[in-house]
Amino acid sequence: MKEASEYDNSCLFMDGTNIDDDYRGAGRSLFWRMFLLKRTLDLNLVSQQVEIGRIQYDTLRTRFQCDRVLENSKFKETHDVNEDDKDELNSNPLDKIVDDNLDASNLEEQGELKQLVHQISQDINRAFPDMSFFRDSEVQIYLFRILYVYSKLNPDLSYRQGMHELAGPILYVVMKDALIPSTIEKAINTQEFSVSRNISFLLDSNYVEHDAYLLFNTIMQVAHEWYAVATPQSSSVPIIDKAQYIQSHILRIADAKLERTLSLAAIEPQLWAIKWIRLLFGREFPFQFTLHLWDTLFAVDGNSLVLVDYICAVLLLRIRWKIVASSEEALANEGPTPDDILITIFKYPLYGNNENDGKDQDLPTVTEPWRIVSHAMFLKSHLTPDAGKFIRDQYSHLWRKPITKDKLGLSRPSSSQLPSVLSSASESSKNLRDFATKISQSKEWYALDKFFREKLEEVKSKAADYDIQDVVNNPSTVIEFIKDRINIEPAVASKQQPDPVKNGNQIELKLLSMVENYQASVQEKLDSRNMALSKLLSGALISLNQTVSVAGSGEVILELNNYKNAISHIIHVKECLDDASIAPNLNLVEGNDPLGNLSLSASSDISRPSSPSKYGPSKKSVALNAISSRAFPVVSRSDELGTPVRVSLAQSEFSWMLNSPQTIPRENAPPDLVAKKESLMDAQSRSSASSPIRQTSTRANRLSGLFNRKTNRKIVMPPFHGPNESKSSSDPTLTLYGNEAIELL
Amino acid sequence: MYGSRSTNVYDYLFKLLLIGDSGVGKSCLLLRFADDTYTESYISTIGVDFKIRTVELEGKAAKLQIWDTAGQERFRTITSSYYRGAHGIIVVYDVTDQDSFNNVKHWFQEIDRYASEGVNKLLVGNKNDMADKKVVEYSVAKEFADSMGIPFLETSAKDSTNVEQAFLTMARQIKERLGGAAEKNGGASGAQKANVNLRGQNISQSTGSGCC
Repeated sequence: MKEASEYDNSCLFMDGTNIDDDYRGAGRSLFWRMFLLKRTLDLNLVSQQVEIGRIQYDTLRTRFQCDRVLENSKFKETHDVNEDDKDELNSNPLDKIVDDNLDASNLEEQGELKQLVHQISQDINRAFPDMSFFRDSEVQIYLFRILYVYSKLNPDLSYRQGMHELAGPILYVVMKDALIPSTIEKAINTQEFSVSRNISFLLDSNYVEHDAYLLFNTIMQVAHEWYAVATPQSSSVPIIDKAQYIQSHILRIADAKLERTLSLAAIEPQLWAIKWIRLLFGREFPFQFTLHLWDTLFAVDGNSLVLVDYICAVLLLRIRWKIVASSEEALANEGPTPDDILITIFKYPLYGNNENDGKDQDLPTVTEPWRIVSHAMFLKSHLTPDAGKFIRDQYSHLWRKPITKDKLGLSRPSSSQLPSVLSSASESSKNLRDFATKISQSKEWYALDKFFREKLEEVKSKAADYDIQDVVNNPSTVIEFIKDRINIEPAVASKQQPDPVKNGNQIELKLLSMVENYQASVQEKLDSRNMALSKLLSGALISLNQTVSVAGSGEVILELNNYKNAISHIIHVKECLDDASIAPNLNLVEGNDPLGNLSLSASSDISRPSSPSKYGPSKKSVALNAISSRAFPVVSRSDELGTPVRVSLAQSEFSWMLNSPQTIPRENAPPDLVAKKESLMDAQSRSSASSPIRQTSTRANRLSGLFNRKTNRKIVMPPFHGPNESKSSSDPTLTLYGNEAIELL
Repeated sequence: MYGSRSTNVYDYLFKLLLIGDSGVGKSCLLLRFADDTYTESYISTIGVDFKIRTVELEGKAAKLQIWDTAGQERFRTITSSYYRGAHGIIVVYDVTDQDSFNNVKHWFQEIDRYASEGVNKLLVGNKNDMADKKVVEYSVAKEFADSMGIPFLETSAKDSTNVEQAFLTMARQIKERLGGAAEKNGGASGAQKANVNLRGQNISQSTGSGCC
């Protein structure tokens, strides 16, 4: 290890720079230490933990004779030679050192050791070939010792390929933050700036290897089983089980069709899962993107990494439309072939179809890590087809073919919103780079230190508002808390010199809020689209109902147009529901719509005061429910997210009605328009023949049965405020029935 | 992948597998064969990788789906699923690394254990461009291959020597073993159907048994 004095004293960081142009996470390693090592925001506690860990690591290094393995620093020489002669890449004098120096008790052991050293150094040599950082001999020695100590300490697992690409980025992050004690001291003495004891302790450049090991080891507590192999005792391989769980459980719920397509193409999940999971997605994204992804992942899930499974699912949902054939493609037999799908997954597309020829390839790296992790969190807490659809819709614009867009005159919110987000993001990323450059040029050390300290102070003061343990243990709180820390204005900001740190924070904040606004606006448009569709359906239903009433009195011909209109409206709504890219044509809605505000969603059905007239309007509600649940199962199965959730009767406060004797749903009725009409007629005729109570509960059962089969939702039961509530009745059953009948029947 | 329909037009689909010790140059061989490029600094394969190339064999189009495995996965059941359904397996060693050649016999044990019977095999000694560092002599490897009754080639992914030949040799053998029989009998037997995926052009799919 170099002595501190060997470094250029004008540089704050041990790598000879201040802040890398491409490194946007100054202070990141502090947060990783907090997130991974102690799950606390208290730097004192983190420092204590690190102090113990460093001593332990020193002991381990001695115990496993790291220094003897690396004696004569031949490792370094080898690598210097390799810079010029790449053919040497795989032959390493380390092999010889092992033979000479290590007192392995027998030949077999010695052979294993030799193989271990060979394997680790070979992978280190091949790690991140594009980054000069990883070609540095000092970095390679650190990495070697970290991996060597880990594998000696875990003989059951030893070293497994891929671990080097977990340890590599960690070491990078720790080294990029490391401060040289003598320089700090000098700076403090000359009163250029001050550093708190904890920060100078944690970021001490003499302990980068130790701390990187501590972080790596923490991740490996969980990642251990991703690398585990089958043993003679147990033939199951945890990573394969995990991969299968992701595909056949998470993905099957979130997007059954996607899961089926992958299964039919005989693409076993471990094909992609091994690489994705073992490297924590490091190969699927650019390096800086991966660091951003890890930031969020460690913050919300640093001690279990359960979220990894859901990130895999989100990544598949993201490329869903490159895997599943659209209906047009399926018709033309032009969908992706199994080979196409394999190629897509193996070369995970970061950029959309239309971005490749685009200008700024940097964009997704700025915008997407947060989105992917937050979508994974969302999926984890709402594992439903709706959530799956919502998530995949967030990315569908990436794969849309321009021709489709022109043909349909798309006005889908995601596509229109995105460019503005992206262009602002581009601006922000430029600002961020400018900011980094500025810092490195101006040598404003104090600013950096202030950055660390203020950030921590702010974090702490924010944390005080919560229960500290909650902050670290509750993922969503942590996210909030990260946002908050970005939001806080630095307490002291120099007026002459605008604080670059503050600018950086604001940019990040801006990015965050842009993403949120974007999502909110998409949501808003989805809501209004649903509302429009609902209006169309309601209009159609009224027409149908009128037709039916007239039919009862024998004057069918007059109202045939009404009937035709209604049918065409319903067909239009079906088309809209089938293809989310079609904008509902509101011109179809005619003015006379007493149920115009009726939404497809049952929660608003139930909470909305309905027409006070006896049972007339209620029949329209019946038909609406019947249609939406039967003829268009897509509505109930995968409605747009955010639409108020339908309550199944079984789970409502009216579930007592299910005890009715007639509980068999009519499953075999064909889900077509005839059936709809039939059901209306049926309702009409039966209402005159049988008791309304009997009929109501039967219908309710049918509906509830349908929903129970087709939905898998969380139930939100809004308070009931029907106007009939106040209606007095001698029969309490009838009163309840009356309320329910209007809404459900 | 929209628009790249040409890959769907083929007469045979053969699944090949590359195995061998870590660092012998499996990925580089594949990169040379599939993309005709070479890089000194190739990252280690994690799990598996996969590439496709369609070649012509006596007037027929054979699509080769080639799976490149991580060298460290030997003796691990993880790879057993890759062996399943493979038509041909190429065992690679590094002519400058004696250990990698010594391990070849272990790799053949893997094949016996996991691959379907009668699978075609090929032994390849890579990095043959590094003459001064060569430690595994041709004669030694050739003798070993002959004793196993399998073909053997020395290759260099770096200067392209014999790379094309290696994969074509494999493909031809598979075709001889399975394709010819399938053609002769017209409607191949069940076992042959499972192994050879005949597929006509898009219009005459009924003659084939689907792909993959």
